[in-house]
Amino acid sequence: MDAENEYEIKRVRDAIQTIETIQSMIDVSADRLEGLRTQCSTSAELTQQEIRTLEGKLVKHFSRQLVIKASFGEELRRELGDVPCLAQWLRVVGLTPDSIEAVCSRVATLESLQERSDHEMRALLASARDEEVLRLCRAMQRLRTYIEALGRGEAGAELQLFWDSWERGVRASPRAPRAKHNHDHPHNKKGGKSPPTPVAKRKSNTTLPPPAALTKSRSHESQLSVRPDASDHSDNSQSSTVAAEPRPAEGVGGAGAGSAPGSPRASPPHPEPEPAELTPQHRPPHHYNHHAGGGGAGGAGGGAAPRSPRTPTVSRCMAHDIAHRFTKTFNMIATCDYCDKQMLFGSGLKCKECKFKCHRDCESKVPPSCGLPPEFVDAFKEKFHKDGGYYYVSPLPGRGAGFLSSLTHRRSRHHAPPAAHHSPYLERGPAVAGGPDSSSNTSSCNSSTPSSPALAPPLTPHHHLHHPPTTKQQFHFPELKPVVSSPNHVTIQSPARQHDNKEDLTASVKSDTSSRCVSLSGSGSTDSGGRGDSLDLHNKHPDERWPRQNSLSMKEWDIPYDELKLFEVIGTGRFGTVYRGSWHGAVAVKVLHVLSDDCVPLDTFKHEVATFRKTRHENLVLFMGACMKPPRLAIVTSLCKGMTLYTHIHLRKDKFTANKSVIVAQQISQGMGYLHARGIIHKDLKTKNIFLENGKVVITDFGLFSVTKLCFGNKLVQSVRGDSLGIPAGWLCYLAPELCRALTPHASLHLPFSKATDVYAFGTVWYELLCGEYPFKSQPPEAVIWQVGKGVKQSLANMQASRDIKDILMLCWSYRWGERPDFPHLLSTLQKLPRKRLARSPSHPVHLSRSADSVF
Amino acid sequence: MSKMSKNKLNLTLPPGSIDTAPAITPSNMTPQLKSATATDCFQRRQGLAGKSKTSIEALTERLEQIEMDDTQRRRIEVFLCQKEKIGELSDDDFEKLGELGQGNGGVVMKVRHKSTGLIMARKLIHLEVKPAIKKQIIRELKVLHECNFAHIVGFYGAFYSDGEISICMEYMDGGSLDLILKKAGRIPESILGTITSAVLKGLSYLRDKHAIMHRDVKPSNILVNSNGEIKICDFGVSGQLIDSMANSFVGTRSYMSPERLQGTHYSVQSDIWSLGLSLVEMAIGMYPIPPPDAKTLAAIFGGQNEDHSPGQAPNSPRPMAIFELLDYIVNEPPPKLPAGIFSDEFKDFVDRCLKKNPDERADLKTLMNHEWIRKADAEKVDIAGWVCKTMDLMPSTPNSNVSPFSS
Repeated sequence: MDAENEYEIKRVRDAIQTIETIQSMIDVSADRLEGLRTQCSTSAELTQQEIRTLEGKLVKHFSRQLVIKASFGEELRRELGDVPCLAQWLRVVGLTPDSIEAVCSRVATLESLQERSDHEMRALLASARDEEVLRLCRAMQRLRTYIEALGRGEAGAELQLFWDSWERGVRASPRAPRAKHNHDHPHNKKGGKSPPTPVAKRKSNTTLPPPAALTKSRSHESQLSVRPDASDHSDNSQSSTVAAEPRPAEGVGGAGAGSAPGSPRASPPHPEPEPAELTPQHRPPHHYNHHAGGGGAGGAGGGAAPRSPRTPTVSRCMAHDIAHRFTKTFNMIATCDYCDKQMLFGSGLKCKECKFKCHRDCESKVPPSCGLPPEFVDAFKEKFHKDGGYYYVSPLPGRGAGFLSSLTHRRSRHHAPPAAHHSPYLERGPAVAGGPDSSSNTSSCNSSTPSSPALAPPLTPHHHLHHPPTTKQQFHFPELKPVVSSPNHVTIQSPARQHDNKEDLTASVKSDTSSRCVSLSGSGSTDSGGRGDSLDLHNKHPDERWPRQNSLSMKEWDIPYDELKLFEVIGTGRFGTVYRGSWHGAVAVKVLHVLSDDCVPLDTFKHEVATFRKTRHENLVLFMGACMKPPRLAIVTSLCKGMTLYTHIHLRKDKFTANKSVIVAQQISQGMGYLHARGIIHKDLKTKNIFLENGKVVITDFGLFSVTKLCFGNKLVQSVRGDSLGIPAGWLCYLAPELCRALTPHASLHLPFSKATDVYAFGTVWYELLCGEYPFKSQPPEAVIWQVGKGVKQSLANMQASRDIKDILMLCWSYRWGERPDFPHLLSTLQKLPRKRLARSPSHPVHLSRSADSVF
Repeated sequence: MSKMSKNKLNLTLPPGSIDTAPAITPSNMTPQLKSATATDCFQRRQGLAGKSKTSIEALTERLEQIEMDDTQRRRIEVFLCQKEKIGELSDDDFEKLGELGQGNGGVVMKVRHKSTGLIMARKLIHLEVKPAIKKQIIRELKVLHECNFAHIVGFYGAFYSDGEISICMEYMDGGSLDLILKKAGRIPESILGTITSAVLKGLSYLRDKHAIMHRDVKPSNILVNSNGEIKICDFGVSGQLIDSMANSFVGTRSYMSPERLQGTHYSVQSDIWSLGLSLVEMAIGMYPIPPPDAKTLAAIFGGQNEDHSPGQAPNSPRPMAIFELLDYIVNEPPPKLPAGIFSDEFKDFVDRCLKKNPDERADLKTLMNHEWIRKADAEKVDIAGWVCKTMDLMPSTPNSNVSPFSS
């Protein structure tokens, strides 16, 4: 009897664990799929194959989860609740955030969606585009197919499970290879012969674009993405052998931008400014095209040419969408520009760019109207609220939302914490990045014309597909319409620009713009792994920038294990053992303890490696390669000289002066800002992972957490005690409230890590630097979990530090993730810390009396 | 060496203990041990090293001050005699016999001390700390040498080897109450009364004689053996050890008091909460947070047949997030015993332990005078028989190091 029950409990627990393991695989695959769809040229055969494989895998994973879940009692099913996650499935399917929302609002679980007929699904997606419906239907059908196959015990059967989620258009026949050529990237062409490049953001409210537009959108997308089309000329892309003439299709493709002939726009551009019915008047042209200015080689000047405002017949096609860059103002007594009420001392925010002022409470309601004259703001506000505002797109970065949340607060929070309104674009980072919207995003952050409003993304069909709601809700300039003078330049320049900025970023710690640069690259750098590789290239070789874009195969990062020499162990972590090694010089080798089980960790591992190779930053450990042949999995990085901050602070008890702490913190922010801009969440930022090499900060171990957890987390927990969570020393105090609350005894595989959780962890590092000890020192883990989960913070009462310094700490430790600053913001705050005051503070200004337990 | 450290710390072990070890060969030692009486032990000790007499005598005197009956006192004396022969411990001295379980922060092994043949429980705690910290921990642990009491698990010694602190303790063949609970499903009220009495005595001994609080009272830290002895272990004697613990485990159960979870000041009263919660768990056979619903209780106590149906069975596991559980402890009403199944005294006892405000909670002294405890003390409960029956042990197994007195 006893044994039976034990067995039953064990069975349930095993099932939960299996489901959670599958969930982690899903997270990884979904993440990867997202990356492929958005970062790679989906017209490339290779990419398509990869996507299909992933789609197949995901269908299997989801099916398994469903089947396992279905085999259990009601209670368990309730507990598992949101697993499998419906929203995640829909993202995997390739629906737009709005469609996802629409579906989620009407259907609670994947199971219930599964029961819907195609017709019902069409009804669910009434406002969505046909292709989305089709995609969903197909994907659901695959899911059912596989579940049936599982039911028949034919899990191994050869089934076609993909549904081509990248497809942007509904098309009757497979794309002809020739056509693919046509959508090739302009930047691969030596002469820079320009395909029309989208510059202006066009929004049209046509619900369903004509079929022609669909084709266009596809080509447009391939333009957006910066990868060469590997299937056609992956090898010679470097030599730019691609035919240079723009083909008709190309022209069509460019039309997505709104200005080329054949554009889907309802009405042709009108050259004359026409008085608008509404308040908004025409804007000086530079507001729209400054992104072209300062651009790199390619189509220089093109975008710089001022365009005369136009009056399109469709009056809503221009949009303004620039978030304010709010900073706290302490010494301001003024009137809120939003609600016209008096603002009290210190309760206000002020946009750095356009001096717009508002209450902190009003901040979330303020439209992204940076740079608009007041009359415009009013009109905007009206419009904005009428349409229901599109802020708060994503709530808490939930579990399973990893790839969403990772991108969600890319840069937007820099401007205004709740300004998640950028996220729809950002989630689709790549589409944004290489293409026109990136250029506009870029411009919105660009220091040269910071206050210019950027244009909303062009409303090419596929964009529509990404974020239809924005279309509705964006404020549209009544009478303006940009002219693309040199349609080609953007695609070339926007990467170039990022490139410049990255250099800025690495070059200057002090420069005021660097924080912007971080955020800037944030806006556009998720696109391709290859970018990082091209950091050192110069603008004069624009075409050399892309050669390796499509090398999803990781051969060049693969280091044969035999080539490595391993010396002594220099550390052991959750993930494995770190050796001092040698591979063309001194290196650090992290050898992962490999499970023989499955290919899962390998997939994850490869994914992580793909992530690491994107990173080149002064304050990040240099990733050199990896051994990727199981069972020998290892990561090779440069060898960090010096000691970790942990050693300095906790073992050697070195005191950091306030000045030194600030310098260290600045560098950490810089490195982390870069990581975040690359779409990488560290997930394990702590003093043990930060080295200090002659005053230079080197951050290590980013993104490894998931690998670790996959390999060992479960095992560790299981082996030690069936029902408890192993908590490594000095880990808890880095966990943000939302993570603490999410801890479960069984599997903590999918903790809702986000950029904001990294920022929280940074807060703890900052505290350690200042106080020389961990927050919540000497408190048992349970007490820390409860207190942090409840929003209790380590008291700073005994800390001798300036108000500013404590403010930073408290901001980083904000209970609500949306209130935590992002790293670019942190960096600029740290840079602004008054030097004088620091200099005046005592040489050991900040320490907590050792004996003092935290006081609450 | 060993002499030095022991003297320096003014410990209970007489110096010169190490000298005795070579004098006796392992082969003839074991039998001697088994038949040895405390007196033999003393005589030999005196003969071998006269000077040690003082410390033993001092210790014996001290033992007399403490409330223990003769059996208990004799058992302790035997334990101390055995311990004397052992001296400083090291990694090589042991032979692994098996794993006893997972304690907080480390594994507990059943080991044989090779030279003496003594069976011990060796707890290994992984630590990555500087040598100075290690020394501090070992030093702090030495307080355990002085914790000799009928309801405190005996301590043989602690040492550091290979990244791990080893704490060698008396082996309790009945295991911990959480193991017993798993086997038995529930623990009868009468047994619980005796156990509680013992635990209370142990806690007050720690507080009165050593000014330490336990900090981690829970079923798995209460051990029993086939002699019917009930002892507590794993009390927070070394602050440094707690701070240095590389890993800790947080599970589906927490016995931590609300005030401790909230990070406020806490005291021995916190142990009382933990004891109360443990009692409810052992009485109903399941961790009482969140409280079982009527259906579950009916399923547990339905037949009114005691010693039947393991508690966790009726409701399948309901994994709560850790935070959720802790928040329940802090913010929801405290658990209590279901009505109509247990005596009113027991119910009252538990309610007094489980007051969320530590000031309202009964203190050790009050509880020791509680009616339920007095009743339990008056009633002679056969713990030994119950342990042996539940754990399928032979009464007074030879494993027990104190077998000479078990009869």
